[in-house]
Amino acid sequence: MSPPLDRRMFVFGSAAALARPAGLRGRSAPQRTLVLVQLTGGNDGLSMVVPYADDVYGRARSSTRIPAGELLRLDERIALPRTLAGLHALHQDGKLALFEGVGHPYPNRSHFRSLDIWHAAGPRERGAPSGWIGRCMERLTGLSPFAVVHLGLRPPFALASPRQPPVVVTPAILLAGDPALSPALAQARELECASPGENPALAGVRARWHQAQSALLEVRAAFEQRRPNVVYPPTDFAQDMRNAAALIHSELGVRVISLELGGFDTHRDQRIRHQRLMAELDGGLTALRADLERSEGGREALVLVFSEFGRRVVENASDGCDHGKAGPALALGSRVRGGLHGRGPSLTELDDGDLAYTTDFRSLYAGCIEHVFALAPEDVLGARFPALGFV
Amino acid sequence: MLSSAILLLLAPLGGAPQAALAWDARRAEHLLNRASFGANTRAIERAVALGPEALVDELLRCDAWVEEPFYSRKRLDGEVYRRLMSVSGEAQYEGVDRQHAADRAQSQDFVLWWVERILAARDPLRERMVLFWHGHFTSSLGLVKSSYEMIQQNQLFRRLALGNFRELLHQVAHDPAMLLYLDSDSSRKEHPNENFARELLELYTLGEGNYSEQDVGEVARAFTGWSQADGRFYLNPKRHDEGAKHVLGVELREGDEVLEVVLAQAACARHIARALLSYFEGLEPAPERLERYAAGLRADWRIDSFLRRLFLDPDFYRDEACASRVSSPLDYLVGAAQRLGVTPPPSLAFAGAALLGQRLFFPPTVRGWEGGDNWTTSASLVLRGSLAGVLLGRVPAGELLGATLARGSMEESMEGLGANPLAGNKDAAPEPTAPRRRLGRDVAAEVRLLDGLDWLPRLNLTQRFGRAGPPSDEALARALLEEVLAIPAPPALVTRITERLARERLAQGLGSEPWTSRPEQCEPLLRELAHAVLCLPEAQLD
Repeated sequence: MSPPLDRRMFVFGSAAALARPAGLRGRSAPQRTLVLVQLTGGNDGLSMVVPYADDVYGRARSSTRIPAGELLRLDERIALPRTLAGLHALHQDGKLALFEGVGHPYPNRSHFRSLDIWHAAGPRERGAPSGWIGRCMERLTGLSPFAVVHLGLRPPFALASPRQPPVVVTPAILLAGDPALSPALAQARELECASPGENPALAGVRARWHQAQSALLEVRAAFEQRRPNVVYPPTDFAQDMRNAAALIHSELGVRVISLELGGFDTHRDQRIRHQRLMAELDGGLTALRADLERSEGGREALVLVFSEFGRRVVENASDGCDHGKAGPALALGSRVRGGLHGRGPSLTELDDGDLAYTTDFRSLYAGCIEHVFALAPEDVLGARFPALGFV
Repeated sequence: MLSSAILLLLAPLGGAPQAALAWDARRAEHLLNRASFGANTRAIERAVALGPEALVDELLRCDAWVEEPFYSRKRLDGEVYRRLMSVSGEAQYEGVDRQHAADRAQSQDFVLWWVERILAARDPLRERMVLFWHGHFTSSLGLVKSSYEMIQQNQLFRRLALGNFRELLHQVAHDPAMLLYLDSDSSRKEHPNENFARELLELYTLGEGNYSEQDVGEVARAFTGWSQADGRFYLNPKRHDEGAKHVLGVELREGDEVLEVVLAQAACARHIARALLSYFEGLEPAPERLERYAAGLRADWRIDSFLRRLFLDPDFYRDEACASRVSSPLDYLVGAAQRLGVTPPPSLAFAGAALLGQRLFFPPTVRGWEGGDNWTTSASLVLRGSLAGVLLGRVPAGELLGATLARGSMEESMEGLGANPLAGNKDAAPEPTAPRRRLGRDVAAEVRLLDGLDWLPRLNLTQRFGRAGPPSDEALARALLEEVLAIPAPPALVTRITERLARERLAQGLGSEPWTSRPEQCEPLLRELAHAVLCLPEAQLD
């Protein structure tokens, strides 16, 4: 005899018939959602929030300097490049919170170490099972299996949690044709069973397998059902944003969506590459904001944009910049208190040639943890970090 | 070429010959899963008969000489670039596009040649090591942006795959693809670029915690001026910092000296030994064992002798290490093809692996492919099953991707770009005029390969399982699982499949006739079951 079958497994491709995860039906107020946008590679902060009025900036940067004519001023000190025109408008509307000099006391110029620090919310201990989002999820009850979704190939450590692993949705899975796929999967589901004394590796794969089966089909249906009233630009990043909005508006109980925009490791030819990335970022974030503004659930979403580190103040000889330390971060959303938060970093009092941090990134996390998940930040972060009041 | 070196190293360092290795089909399959790319039951029977020493000898005895296809440089620089820039307008754009297309075609052609060797099990251990070094000394075509240098690097890995690590390290440091990938090529004494220096110490040789930030800066100075042109290394004296550097407590001047200082660190052999052990065993090595293997490696830096010791080490076959490694996408696809006995076109294995997260020539980060649980995301677990369906002739390759593309689900937002993107009108969401394909950043080229693929496997499972006489349902179930899975047949699954065969027997009115006497009914059912089995968690391990 086969074990009782999960009904969801057998409604392939039939979006209307999809069963919803228990516990989500009849929910009253929309829950808040966090969208994490990782600018992977080390975003050059000085090209994103440009300290145009500082002579040091002009001296340190020649080939990577953004010319005065291409700047949109925020105040007498800093400006955004014109590639971020959408974000500049959001800033004027008070819906963009901007942080400069975000970093931490454990600077490390390795991408991996720095990402680990951001994802673990501090030095990552060997063998630590959960990232900071994972730790949040472990403190919440009644979560849907879709609480954490990563749009991309490899979920970051931030999402790791033995109890609430992320659902991973790659562009490729969206291509998997379900009509051909579903009979084999249904067969597999019927055959599937654990043998006595199986090794931990197999047990682990089995657990992920069960999750995978149901998750992808439902997520895919959520993407397909939604017809946004906003046109997203034809970039991959904007399409991820569009999918993020679809998840926020779905009834899957998604609380965290993670995705990345890569290509920020601009050791050479930085100016043109970084400008393109800024335009892609701006187009995607602006469309997402416009989309989210139109619904109650959307207005409860908070978007956090960060990078593992900023880059050196002085550019290198390859028309690029090497790995540095502090850099900017952004928060967007209807509930955000816009404007500049925290103090800008000094361009002269440097930490080994890099911007020294003025805001610990865990202060941003603290705001998210409290606002989005209604949890006590120090529980998750292990220490108290000054809340910045940006939400 | 290698056999004389091997004979000298038959006795492992500091101990008696490892004669205590028990040898059976399970162990033979384990070795062939890890050292080769999987094997069918016949190859396993042969391996059992050969015995471990002879089998390991055979794996290590690769062709002394590989005929690699000829390719020329197509990078858009130098004379080609000047010539293109001298024309104007449309002609220039076309010229640039043509050049890029030619370069893409060349890299793809080479990678397909490589995958073809893997699929054909030509020098499987050497190709396995080429893949290992590609993930260790990472370079990505995405940054190198020129197929020729990537191909040269791959050929370097092939030449030294099982050779001397010391020599490999020196050559990699001079390798044009590496010089481009980690920016040594543009590093000058005025502003040393630390990219190569950092990865050299952190990922390629010592591992984190075995050097200081100051070492990174000093190493970067030593490698200034290491440049490439026309696919060849050269030292640019104008960019090279001639001054004294202090690396790990040693005063030196040149990059080559840095490599020797690094090799002399105990941490280096330990780092490489750990990488090899965890790659082949799928587990972190125990500290004493790691030290033993690191000492062995440091004695001669030979990769072949290291692997020989490993493959004849009874510990390599311990229960914990067997049937417990999450298969990489290539292991899954090539292994499934080997076990099923089909020879898919290389484009299927290459494109399939890329869709599953292992895109050759494009390691995701400088850390390479991290493997293990990283392979089994919710997405890849589902996709693996559909690719297995292609191998079995149950899912046409074109249809694998076609269903979604035709529906145009992701496409409508790509239309109507002339309009103000934010002037959304509730009643007039733009409708797609024609289906547009949105294939994702990393998959476009692979999808094109799958799209045009018209292939069906030559396969006769019925005949194969009936070769020793008509099997009982249980024997058929067991044979199917043993053939299709890289791991021993799980008893509970044997029962499930036996039950299924019995139910089908009733449904199809087969009476007590053996399944294999009715190929028309047996073959589709066996393929259906094989497909389902390849979707299961058990099929994701080797």
